[in-house]
Amino acid sequence: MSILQLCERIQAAWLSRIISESTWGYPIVGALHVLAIALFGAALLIPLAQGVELRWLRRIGLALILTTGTLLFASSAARYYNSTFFRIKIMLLALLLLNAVVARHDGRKMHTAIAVVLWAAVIFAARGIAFL
Amino acid sequence: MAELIKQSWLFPVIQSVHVIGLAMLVGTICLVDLRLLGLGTRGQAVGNLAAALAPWTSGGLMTVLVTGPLLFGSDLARYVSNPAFVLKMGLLAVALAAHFTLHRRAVRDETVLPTRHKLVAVLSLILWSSVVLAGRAIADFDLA
Repeated sequence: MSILQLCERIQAAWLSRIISESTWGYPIVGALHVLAIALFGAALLIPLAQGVELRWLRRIGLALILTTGTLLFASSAARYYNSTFFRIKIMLLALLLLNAVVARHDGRKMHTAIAVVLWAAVIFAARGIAFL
Repeated sequence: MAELIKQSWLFPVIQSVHVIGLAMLVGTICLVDLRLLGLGTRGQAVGNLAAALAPWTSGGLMTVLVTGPLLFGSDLARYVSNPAFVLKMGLLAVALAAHFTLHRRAVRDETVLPTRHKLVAVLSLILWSSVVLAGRAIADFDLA
């Protein structure tokens, strides 16, 4: 089974179809995705400036971003798979994961700065998906 | 200018900056609201937290107030006929009004009753979330 065929199976699943076929499914999951980004973004930026630790908030925000993001992807997986900007976005997310893993082993501050830049790039790539 | 934004890569780029501004604005307001509700960053007084976050909140507000009108100006006809956009502007007006009156007072005045603090925080969370929800829905409710 090719990746494209896998994507077609994913978007045919009942949960994916609930999102793609209902009027409110996609807008609501999409809005939650953006709200979670706001929360996560603030929890990522603030410690950088204030020295306040907001790890639990970052974790909740990230969990919500990943859940809603996966649902949005599942709702039209084949279209996303074919999108160049989506592929760029996934690669940027892979870099973020790598950055997070490396950050566990040495100094923090630089890795947070890298994370902020990468997250900004993720947002640009994400808007690119809708544009093309 | 409007045509250029509408028909080029400038549109998603401005939109991306709008989302980053939104994250700064709504994210920091939500942090203060959660603190008013007694969640997170409890080590800091509400007033101190809000003061520390203020530059981010105003930076975010300025960012969305510059990029928003640019996006709006790129296709006036589309936006004024879009129900999600009209709803968003209404909600935004209420959210801003509440932010600079009720919210500001709750954050600054330590003598205000905790219950009132919490009501203001919940109202603020609902209003800003609704603004984001309606904003995101613009792309889903184009009539044309």
